Amino acid sequence: MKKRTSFPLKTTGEMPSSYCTELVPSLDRNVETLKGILGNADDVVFRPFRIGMELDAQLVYIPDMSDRLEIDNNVLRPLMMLAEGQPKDFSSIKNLALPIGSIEESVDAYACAKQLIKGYPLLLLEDCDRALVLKIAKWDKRSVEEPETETSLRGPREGFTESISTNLSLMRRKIQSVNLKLKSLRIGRDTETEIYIAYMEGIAKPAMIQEVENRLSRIDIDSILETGYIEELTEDDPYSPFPQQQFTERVDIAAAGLLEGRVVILVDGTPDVLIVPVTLVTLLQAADDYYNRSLYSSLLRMLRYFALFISLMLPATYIALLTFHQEMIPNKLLMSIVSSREEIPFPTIVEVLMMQMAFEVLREAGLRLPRQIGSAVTIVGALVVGEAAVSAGLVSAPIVIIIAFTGIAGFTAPHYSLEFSVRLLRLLLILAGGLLGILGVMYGLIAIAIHLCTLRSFGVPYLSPITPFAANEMKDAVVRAPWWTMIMRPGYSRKNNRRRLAPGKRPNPGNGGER
Amino acid sequence: MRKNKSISVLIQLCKRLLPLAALLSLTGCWDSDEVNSLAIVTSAGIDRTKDGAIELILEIVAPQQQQQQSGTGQSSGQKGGKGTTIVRYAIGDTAADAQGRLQWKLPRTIYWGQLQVLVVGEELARDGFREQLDYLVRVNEIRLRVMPFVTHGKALDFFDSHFLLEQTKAGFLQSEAARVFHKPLTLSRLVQRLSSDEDTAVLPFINIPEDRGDRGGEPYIKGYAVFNQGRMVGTLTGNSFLAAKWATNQLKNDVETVNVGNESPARVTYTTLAAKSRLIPIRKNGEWQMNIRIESEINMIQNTSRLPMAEPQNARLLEAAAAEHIREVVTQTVRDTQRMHADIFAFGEAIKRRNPHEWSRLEPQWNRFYPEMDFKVEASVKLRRIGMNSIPLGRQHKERTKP
Repeated sequence: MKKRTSFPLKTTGEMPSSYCTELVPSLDRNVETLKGILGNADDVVFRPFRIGMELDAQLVYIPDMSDRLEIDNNVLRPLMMLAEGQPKDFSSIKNLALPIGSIEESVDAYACAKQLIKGYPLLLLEDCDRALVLKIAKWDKRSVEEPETETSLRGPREGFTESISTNLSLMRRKIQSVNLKLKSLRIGRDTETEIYIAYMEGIAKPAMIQEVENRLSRIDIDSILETGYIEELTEDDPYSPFPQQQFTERVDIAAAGLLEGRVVILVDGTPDVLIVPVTLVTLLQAADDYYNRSLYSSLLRMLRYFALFISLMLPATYIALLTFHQEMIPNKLLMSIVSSREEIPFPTIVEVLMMQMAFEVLREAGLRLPRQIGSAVTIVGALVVGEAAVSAGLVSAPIVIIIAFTGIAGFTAPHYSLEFSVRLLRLLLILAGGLLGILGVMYGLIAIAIHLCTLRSFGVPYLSPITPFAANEMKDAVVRAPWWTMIMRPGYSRKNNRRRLAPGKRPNPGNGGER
Repeated sequence: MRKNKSISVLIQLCKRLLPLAALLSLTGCWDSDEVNSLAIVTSAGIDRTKDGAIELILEIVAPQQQQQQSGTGQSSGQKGGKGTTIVRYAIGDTAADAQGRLQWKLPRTIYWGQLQVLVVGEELARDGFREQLDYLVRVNEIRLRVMPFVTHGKALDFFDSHFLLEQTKAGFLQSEAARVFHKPLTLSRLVQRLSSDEDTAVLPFINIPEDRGDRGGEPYIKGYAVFNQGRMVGTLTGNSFLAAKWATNQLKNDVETVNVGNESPARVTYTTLAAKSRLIPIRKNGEWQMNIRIESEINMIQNTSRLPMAEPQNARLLEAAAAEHIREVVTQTVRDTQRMHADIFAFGEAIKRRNPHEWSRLEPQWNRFYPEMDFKVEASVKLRRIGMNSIPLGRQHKERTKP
């Protein structure tokens, strides 16, 4: 594979040749050039003024993307107040007159325009072929809030926001180590979205980082509006129902990923960050697991595995038993099922598909509608579909219970991308179970197992601690062993730096020498 | 070139998929049956009519009736002890024939997969029902866990009898068997026994009290029906039933009473906690003799004697009395079976296991040999629990009587 370390800026074609992109020593010409590049950009303000009553200048900015207070106080005021006789050449204005933290020069009108678009005001001076880019962009951001899709009982409440600078600062605050490396690149010909690859040097495998960089550098697209774009463009198996990258809004999850030797991809404009590689086991680990005590967490985690299987197989098994293998149902249970099904006009599989569809419709509607109406729709819909359908004799009561329980069980998956795949496969198994009985369900499960075994996420086997088996990592697979036993990092971290904990630190009053 | 390659890949793929496709055609939606298109049989009865035809009685789950019952309670007039099942019967030349005729009367397919009990009428049992059993073990839907019973009188009488505790006849017989036996006999065991060398078997024998009024009159398991050469030859009831259960490790929930000591109120009642019996064939003067060794642990539940059982010497007395009781009833029962020429305790098998060579000599004349066979019952009983009251009520603490 060709090794590339630099990421060329991808732009929309070439500049039209009629523009003279070089700035010239004429303020009017430069302003004209800029206006020409920007076209009908009426939100751009061109503010002509005079520096120290001598030198003509133009401040170009977009009002709501720049810090107005700073423009007034730290740009316009000192420049206008500049006393006569003070040097007013380009470099002294840059170095002496502007009390601004970050400032750049630019000689190219096109580059200037791009900086302007990002919210940086431009300062153009008379008789000067360079422009000053004042990095005082400021726009409205959402404050750091608790992510609504990933709540936890215990643990930090902060989540990523749409602003990548905020996100980077959140990461830095969590991991205050110089080894936290943040590599920047831009993807998207039109959006030029700022993307950061974050990793822990010395913990993440260099090959892994290289692979992430390679895959990102291969992306050539006009826009990146969400991490989902990147996810789909860098997946190992694009048609797999299983997510091969994990996304999260939680800072602590991203930080934990970094410390396990994984790579985090942050994208500007979305609160979701991507974590690679991912295994099935990691998708069933919730942040809470590591904050609550281990016995309790282990119980919950096993419950989650159980719920996953229920969610995947329960309706399919029900159909298979009821239409092919009646002898497998205990006598009394069968009798009550038969009596509840007596007036139902549909075959079992139609019943299940109907209810499943009603459930999905309700769920989708609840998601799309405004939140206040959404809950109302869900409640009314659940009541109508559940209660009325049963009393009208359209579906039997056991089906309602099974579909409802299946749906609820799916929600126990801590990362709902996994729940999506389970939903998809559930449908497949329902059809297989309805057509072929238990044999069909087994075929389906075998197919899923084979697929899972072949799947890889950035080179890491998807079922990794289970198969290929790694005894050490089983401590964090089905159960969550106490922290003092999880001495090593997972297998996808760098080999010579696996130890995360000093061994033999089992808490014990005798250990510290206390009496 | 490229086209050739893709074709060969396609062929490879087809070769891989062919076995899968073949497997898929083995099953499919054409094999499916909605539960509501089935007449689910929970219990079946076979009997013989006077003119020698076979009567097949099926108890079928009736969902309509059940729904009315489990409904809001307004329509509870339908109950009347009918249960949630209906009983239908038909008469044919064989059991399978009768089943075919019964199917004519039913709109739904008869489904044997949930069959739980099989009730054989006494008439047919005495006549030999092995031939009819053939159908039941041949149908692939029927599980071999079905429990067979023999009923006193006609099988239809049993299906006409009523009982209030259980919803179905099958449920009733199952819980009845679970109450009486440690490990209820199943169809598979019955078939094994019937095809063994001794060709004997025992089946639970249901008694139906004659006066079936509203009071009492519920059927119950009274004893064992003894089969020899596929025909019912007699029953073991009362103490013999108990003894047969002793010897076959089937004891459960049984209460026994023995006399201890020689003072006037001397009855002690106990239940059995655990029992183990073994058959040990020994050769004595060239003759086979069977030792039936029974070990059991008992729990005293009532003591009318004035002997405190907390004292070891009194406990020994009770243990000896209980052992003597066991010895008596088991000896009596084995004599009974010897009279019936039915080796229900599988003496023959014990000998066969000890000495297969000898058995091959013995086997042809076993039916004559068994009634003459010598046997000895050795019982050892351990008193394990005496309950909360260690000293009999009304007895002074000081007054310690030495036996």
